[in-house]
Amino acid sequence: MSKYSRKDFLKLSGLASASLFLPNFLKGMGAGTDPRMSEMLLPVTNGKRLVVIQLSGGNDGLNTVVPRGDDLYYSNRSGLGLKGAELINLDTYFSLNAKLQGLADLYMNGEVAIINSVGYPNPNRSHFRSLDIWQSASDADKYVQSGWVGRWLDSACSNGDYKPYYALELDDAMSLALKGNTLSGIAVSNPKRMNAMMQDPVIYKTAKAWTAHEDDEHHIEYLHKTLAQTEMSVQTIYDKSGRKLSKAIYPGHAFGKHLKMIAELIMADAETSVFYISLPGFDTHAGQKNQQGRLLNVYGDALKAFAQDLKSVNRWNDTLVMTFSEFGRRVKQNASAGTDHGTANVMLLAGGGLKKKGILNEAPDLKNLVDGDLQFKVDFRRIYASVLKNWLGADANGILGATFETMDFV
Amino acid sequence: MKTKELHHLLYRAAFGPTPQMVKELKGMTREQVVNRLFDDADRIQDLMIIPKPETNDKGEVGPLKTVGLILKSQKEKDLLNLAWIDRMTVAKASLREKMILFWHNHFATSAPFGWLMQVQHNTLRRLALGSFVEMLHEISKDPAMIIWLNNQQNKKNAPNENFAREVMELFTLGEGNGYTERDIKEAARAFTGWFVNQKGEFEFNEKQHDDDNKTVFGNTGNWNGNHIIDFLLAKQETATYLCRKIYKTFVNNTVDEKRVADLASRFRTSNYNIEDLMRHIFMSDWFYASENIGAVICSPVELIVRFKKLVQFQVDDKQQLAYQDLLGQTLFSPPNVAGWKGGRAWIDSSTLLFRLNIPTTIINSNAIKLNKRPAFEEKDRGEKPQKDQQVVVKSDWGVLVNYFKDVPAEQLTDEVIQFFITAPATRISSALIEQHVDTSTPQRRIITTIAAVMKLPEFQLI
Repeated sequence: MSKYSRKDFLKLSGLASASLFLPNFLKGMGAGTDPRMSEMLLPVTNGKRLVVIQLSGGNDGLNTVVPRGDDLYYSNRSGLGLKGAELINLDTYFSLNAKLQGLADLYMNGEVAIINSVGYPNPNRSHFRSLDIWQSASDADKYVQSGWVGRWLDSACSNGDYKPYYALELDDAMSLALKGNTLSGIAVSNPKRMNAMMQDPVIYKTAKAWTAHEDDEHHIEYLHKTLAQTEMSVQTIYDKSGRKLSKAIYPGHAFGKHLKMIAELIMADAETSVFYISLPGFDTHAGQKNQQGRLLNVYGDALKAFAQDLKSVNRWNDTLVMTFSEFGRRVKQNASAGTDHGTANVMLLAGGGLKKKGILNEAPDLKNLVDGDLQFKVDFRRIYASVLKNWLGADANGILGATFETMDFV
Repeated sequence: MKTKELHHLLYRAAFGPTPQMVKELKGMTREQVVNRLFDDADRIQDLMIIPKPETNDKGEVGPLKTVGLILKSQKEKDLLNLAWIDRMTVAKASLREKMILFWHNHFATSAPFGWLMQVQHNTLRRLALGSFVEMLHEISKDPAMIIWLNNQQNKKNAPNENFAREVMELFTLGEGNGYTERDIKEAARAFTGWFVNQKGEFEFNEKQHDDDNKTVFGNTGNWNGNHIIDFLLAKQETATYLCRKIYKTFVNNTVDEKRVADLASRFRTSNYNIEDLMRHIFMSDWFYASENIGAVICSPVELIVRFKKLVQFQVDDKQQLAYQDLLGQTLFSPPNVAGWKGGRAWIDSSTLLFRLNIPTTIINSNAIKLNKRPAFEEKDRGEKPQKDQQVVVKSDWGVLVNYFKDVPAEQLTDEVIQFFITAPATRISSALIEQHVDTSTPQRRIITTIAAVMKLPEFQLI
């Protein structure tokens, strides 16, 4: 007996050949395979998508991308320093934490770029404040009440083509990052639950009854319009995330579940350009090795599954995954086999469309520290600017409120 | 005063109309109602739930205990948040509570010490309707503020500009308004040595104070922090900035600059008498103009307090904290020193749908258990994606049912709308509401009619 029954074969071949004759609007119902489609779906970003991963708590970059060739790494990290089987060597100097096997596989494939020593002037070591700085993309001495992804919406959708799910956070609550000055993204953790909320008849019918009152400046119009947009967004996300298109195996962790949902949305041709997702738990003041290792393992495996799903529908080349944490950690380990809050940190980029791969800049300088912490070499807003301008085709200067030199990794 | 005007005033100067308040105040003149609200606000009772930290025989906390205090501070701040919301719900001094809420957002602080946050809160509580001159001086010496804005690190040989910058940018003049970078640098030197001692009290550390001349706003002298605060209070920009914020919060999210200018000159002339300013606003005819009614988006905390006052809405503490996290406002944990932006920033797709859904959970007596986003210090708890669990939502509709029980069925929808909605009802369809009302008993009819009105977007406007 062959592995596939005749019925299976007919089903597969029938689908494959039939799809050649499918009109474009029907293809949108299934998995996208036509590269032109994404440009039509995402006119604002020319078919490109961005996935932002926030490793909350302050991920220890030195034990993520390890400067194995630097003796200072081991003298500062006796015990916590990774060696031997704890490492996957990238070159003669750098290694990845061996828990990142999934990421290492992508790296070997030329699908990862690493930028060392990313930070900002006058670093803040408070989780809240530093995350606030990263999400608002502000100077350390400025307090800004909008986020950079939200301001991207303000700018990219200024022609009136706006739907909240153009920027989607996989969470119950929406981060500052997605709040613009006038427009915002949407946060959805569980589409089914949100859809159930939307189905309340009074709420649903009120949403459906909305018709635009263009020149009405009153809050009433704003609230009704937001409700109508919400209904449409929830409907779309609920529908597109529920088609079971993903074939890859994700870690059994909330983060894996959410990254899988992003894959399914992309595979169902959702018109979302920016996805935002967090993986918390990186505040490793004590017993770091296990805790960080477990989380990095989830992160790397989820990312590999995600790449596999997107490759199967030719979307990996149009997708960029950017990973950051609000700060790195102190170079010298503490007395509890952990590390305390630090400053500059490594940033990871992954995707099939990277123009520059591998390690893009010099190794972190473990010698010239300030108060025991790394000095930043690359302002994080240079990376935001590069992604905004070169990837999303957006007005980076306007969105960031200043000019940052771009880099050429995309 | 007219019903609509009364309800409008109660939304702004209190937490909205309740059957009890409306019965009591109906038929009074505007002046009588305003006087009543200010009389009720006179009562000041400290919020006291965080015990004073233990100290050694010198009255000091000591470094080890300090670490312990920091570690439990988020929990204590959450407790303060819950206790304050309970206070808002039961206090007769609603206007004072609203003013404290305003000042907490103005001097948005979240220092990692529960006790010190409580001390600051009680300072704002005491001065909420008093003199802004006194308030600004006290807040500048407030231990939580000093820690929050790094004045603890502001020393003669290494000035830290954080407090000097924010006192101008956020507390008095407004961003980029009437000061230079040089003013900030020089003012920071004047605040050197203002620090918090081991007793958790303000202390002037002469050794760390820069005793040389400073030039701030063109005045050269050996200034200290008190001088800088007086310079700031002497500037018209301060009065304008504050009145604009007051206007946005209490009158209309959209600012009328002419009115703000009038208010500002009055505020400054009165030497920053807050009660005088607020009384003037609530007594003015323009406050009751139709464009100012229903023109403010209710904050998450006010919304929760409204539900608590109206139907004794209650969920367990964890669930309430998760609600607040989702809706974007946990007291004592503002996003940063700029506070909550307010107005339309409260509303996005996620928060709006969640707000509109609260009445449904109240009617159903249960809601899906929510988790607050984990604090940074917490270990990862998302290992297994969690299945939905239910939590109990308690409520009591008795007072509302009693209030509407004599209203004829055919008038009920309109009466309920008039009671709760002050914004124009042009887009409200009574037919839509009536379609979804449970008419099985008179009581169910009242409850489900009210719940339906509470699900309308207009209910979010006060």
